[in-house]
This record gives sequence, structure tokens and C-alpha cells, in this order.
Amino acid sequence: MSSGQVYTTYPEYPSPETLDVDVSFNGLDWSNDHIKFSYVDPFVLGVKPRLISPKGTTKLLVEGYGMANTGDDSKQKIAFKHYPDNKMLKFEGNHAEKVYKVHNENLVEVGTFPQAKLE
Amino acid sequence: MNPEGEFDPNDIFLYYYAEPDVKKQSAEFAYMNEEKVILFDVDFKWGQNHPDIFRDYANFTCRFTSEKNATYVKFTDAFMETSPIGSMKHGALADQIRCRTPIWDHPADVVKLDVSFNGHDYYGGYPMNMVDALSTLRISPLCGPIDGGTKVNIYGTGMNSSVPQEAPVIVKFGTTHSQQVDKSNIDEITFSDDDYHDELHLSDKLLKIAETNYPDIDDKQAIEKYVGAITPNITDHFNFDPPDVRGQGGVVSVLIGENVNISITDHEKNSTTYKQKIDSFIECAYYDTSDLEFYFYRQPIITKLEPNSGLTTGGTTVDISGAWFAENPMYGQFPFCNFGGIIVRGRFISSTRIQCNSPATQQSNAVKIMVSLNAVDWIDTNHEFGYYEKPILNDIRPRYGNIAGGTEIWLKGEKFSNATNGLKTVMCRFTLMNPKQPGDDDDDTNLEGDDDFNAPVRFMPAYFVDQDTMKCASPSGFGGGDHVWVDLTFNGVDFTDNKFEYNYYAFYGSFPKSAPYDATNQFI
Repeated sequence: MSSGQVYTTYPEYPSPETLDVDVSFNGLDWSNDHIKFSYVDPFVLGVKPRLISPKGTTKLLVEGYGMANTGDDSKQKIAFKHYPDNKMLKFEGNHAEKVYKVHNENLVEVGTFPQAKLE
Repeated sequence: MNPEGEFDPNDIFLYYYAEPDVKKQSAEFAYMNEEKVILFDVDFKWGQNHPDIFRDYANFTCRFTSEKNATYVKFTDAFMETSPIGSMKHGALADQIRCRTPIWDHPADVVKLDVSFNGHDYYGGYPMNMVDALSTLRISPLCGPIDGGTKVNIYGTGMNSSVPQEAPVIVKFGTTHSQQVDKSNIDEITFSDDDYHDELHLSDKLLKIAETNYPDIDDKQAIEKYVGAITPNITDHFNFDPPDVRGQGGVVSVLIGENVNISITDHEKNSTTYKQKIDSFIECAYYDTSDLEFYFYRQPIITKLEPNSGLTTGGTTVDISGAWFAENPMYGQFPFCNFGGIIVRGRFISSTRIQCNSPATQQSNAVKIMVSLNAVDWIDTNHEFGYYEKPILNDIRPRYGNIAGGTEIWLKGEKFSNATNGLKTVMCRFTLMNPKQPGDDDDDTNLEGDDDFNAPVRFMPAYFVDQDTMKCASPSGFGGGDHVWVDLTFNGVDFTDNKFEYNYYAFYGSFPKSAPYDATNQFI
């Protein structure tokens, strides 16, 4: 560790939620800087629209819980599965998954794929 | 994906749809205040798309994007329908989309029109014209008789703005009567309050109440004037059997709009099963133009009119009796008289009586006199009003006469007219010159009031001889030695400026009672 850094293990928490993190060196005086830490456990309630264009131009708005911005965009992804065989779809040889953009903890936006290029 | 790199599953399904084929919309234009119904024929490709999924999950939307300003975009909800609307044929699938145009803020704009099935991806891109708002700003007159036929001028906007230009515009009086606007009778004008009030023959003060709720028009604002709306006969809505007296009329809104043609289903009346496709329409824009109201009244009847002659200088008060006269400033309803084409506003006295002052005229002749409550729909009184030049009285002969009356008095003057000859209004007036006052030295009557004390003003019929000569008989009722003024009237109201003295004498006997038979030059 270097100066300016402290290390801790985050505790278990019963639900996906964003909390303030404060630091104290004496157990009495806390930093109170409103630094956020989110427990991420995405749960999707709904998606709009449900009809999507075969051109892949439709942007989906996904509503749910626990979809806070982790600060690591590469891990904020939504993948598409095929129905009814439940297999992950592939797009140009890779998993058909897209990084989503966080509007807030309960709403994110993600693009879609052209239907013809999905396998 | 959670921090462990795992995707949390869910049971939400998304559906790729086969892109439907959207044909051009049904209308080339919409009035910017209209919220017009638009229909699109659509090939939904039901072989590939599933109707239930569209029914459950589609978000039909129309999008209007201004070509002048691409950031000005409006959306309206759309609906998937089967044509003809309401057919309910078993197994029939939707083949059209319906939506309405939005209220648009920019006149003479061209918009790009798109349709979406999910509220996100749009198809179409068809051009559409948003034209001037279709509106009514003023009407003239504001009221008319219940049996209709009143020619109403409508001042408004957008009546000639449709694309194509000949697309019909409809005027409605109330909710039941509509008529198509004849666009050849629409003129572009610059509005003037004064001209409008002149057209109504009413001042701005008299119209203040009526115009309270009217939309504003700037002076010299460019608007349209439609000359050709005709009010309907609404008497068929009323039951004239007593005691129902609703035939007195009432107020209706004057609306303007257009009818958008649609196809609907004709059903069997008993079974409600599909019969055939028929043409119908949806009314658009009318609701937005209901500030103006037209008042239907019952046309008055005329029973009596007097005097029916007056001076060419005008100002004669004509008393008109009848029924159903009315005055209603809220709807510009006032009594008017028309003297041979010259319109004057009358005075409302009661529902059975009005008065009008005759206007000045250049010619001495008889003109038709008509009455109206809106200065447009005239009732022929079946009377004529005789104009004559003011007669001049120069002399009378003789100047003396017996108290018994009956002396034939010749009146000499100018501009005597035979237009009114034989009417009871042509009269000589005899007025005592120096009426005695109660209590005067020679008061031997023991009467106290002026009216009872002196001989009343007497009128005697006058007869036309020629343009310079009239004659009348002296009345009785005056005493010996009374001096009276004599003047002349042709209508019972307007008298000659000049008046001449006439004296009464009395014979009580003669003295001496006898004389020689051959006596000459003897005084008696």
C-alpha cells in the first residue's frame, strides 16, 4: 500500500444498493466525503421496446435493480440468448453481448445486433 | 453481467420483427391546429410477424419532423386497425395504422412523417404540409331568424390553405347542420374593426358585450373573408304544438373544419354481422373554432306603422307595432329599419313596439319600409313611407271666421304634396295664441288646470288643391275673440315653420232689428 490508500474488505450486504463509504483512523472521526460504493447484483424487471428492428438499430432501455455504474465499463454487459434453445447467440464469432450505458441504478441502455448476423 | 463475469438470466423475451411495408399516408396536408386523422396502408407481413406479439408489444407511434428546423419534432400515438374500421370479420388481420397530426406551431411548414412499430425505429419519411390554422375569428351578422337563409360572412384563417387547394372545408351551425364552403367566395382581406362594425350597422360600444369572448385580430391583419355561409332552417327541430314554444330560437356555435374520409363497416342491424364497406368521415378541427356563436330568433311580425310619411330632411319618428321584437346586445340583435335601401338603427321599446327615425333623402317619393333585427334579414312591412319636401305656408284666407266653425280656409304656400292626400295625417292645426291662465282677471270658469281651462289644440283634415293651395275648415270650440295659430302637417308629426293668425268672432244679434225697406248705407 502507498500513502493515500487504505485497504479493507467490503462486508456482505443483503441487497444490491449504493452506499456511502467513510474512513476513520480513530473510530470516531469519519471522512464523510460521500464516496459511493455499490453492491451490484443486476436484476432485470423489464425491457423497452420488446419489438426490435432486424437492422440492429434499436436501442433498448432496461429497467431493474442493482445496475449501478461499476466504473469498469468493460464488465457492464448484457448478453442475448436464443429462444427456445437457450444458447448464447454469437455475433461475428463472439458472444452477442454489449456494454450497457448506465442512466441510473435502475435504468441502463444497450444496443442490439442486426438479426441477419446473429448465429 | 455481475462482477464475477456471470450473466444473470431473466425471462424477458425480445422479438425481431420483419419490417412492415408502410404506404404513403392518406392526407397531403393538415391544418396546424387540426389534429387530423391520418391513415397508412400497411403490409404487416403477417406471414412472418405474429399478430399477438404485435398486439401485446408494439408501440405504434407517428413522428413529425420539421423540414425547416430538424430539432422541432412531435410524436403522436398510433393504432393498428383492420380496414374497414369495425368490421370484426373473424380472422381479419390489421392492414392499416391510424394516428393524428399534432398541434403544429409553424405555419406553411413541410414535415417528414414516419411511423414506428416499437417507438424507436421509424419507417416512411413521407412529406406532409402543415398549413395555416383553420379558424373563425368573426361572423356577420351574429343572429338571424329561425327559418334560416341568413347570409353569414365568416372572417377567419386557413379556409383557402389546403393542399390541394380544392380540398373541402365545412361550416357547421350547431351540431347538426353542416355545409361545404364555396372557396370561390373567399377573399383575402386586411381586417378593419370599423369596416366590420359598419357591416353590422352597429358601433363598437353596442358590440362590446358580443365581442367579449372573440379572439383578437390586429387592425390590418391579413385574414380571409368567406361570403356565402347560409344559416339552416332549424324550425324542424321544434315542436310548435302548444304548450311547446321552443320555436323562439336559441344559440349555436359556428364551427369550421374538414371531414376526413374513412371507410367503416355497415352491419346487419339485427345480428351486427359484417354487411359491407361504406364511406364515412371523421370531423376534424371543429372543436377549435367554437368561440363564435350565432343566435336564432323568431322573426317579428308587423301590424301597424305610423306615420307613413315624413320630410325629406328626415328625423320623423316612425312608430312600429307588432310582435316578437327583441334586443339582445350579446348577439348583436337590435331593431333596424330600411327606408328604401337606407338602413337606420331603431329603438327597442317593447316586444310589441319599436321606433325608427326616418333618414334624410334627396327625393320626395314613396319608399318601401322594412324592418329587421339583424340588418340582413328584412321583413316587408307592406307599408310605404312617403317622403315629401317640407311645405312652406305663406298665407291663409280668410283670417276671420265664426265660432260655429266650418269656415273654409284656403292655405297658400309652396311644395304642397298630394302623396299623402286623403290620409288622416294631413291636417290643419289650430292652437290658441294667448291661452288664459287660471286666476286671470277675466277668469270666469272656476277651472283650475291649464288643460281644462283653455280650448284644446284642434286638428282639422286638410285637402290638397294644388301644389300651392290646400284647404281646411275651421273647427268649433273656440270662443268669440279668440286668436289662434294655424299651421299645416302632412304626416301628423312635422308641421310647417310658418303659422298664421286666425280670429274667431261671434254674432249674438243685430241692432236695430228693423229698418225702412228702401234704406241704404245704414249700419246695423
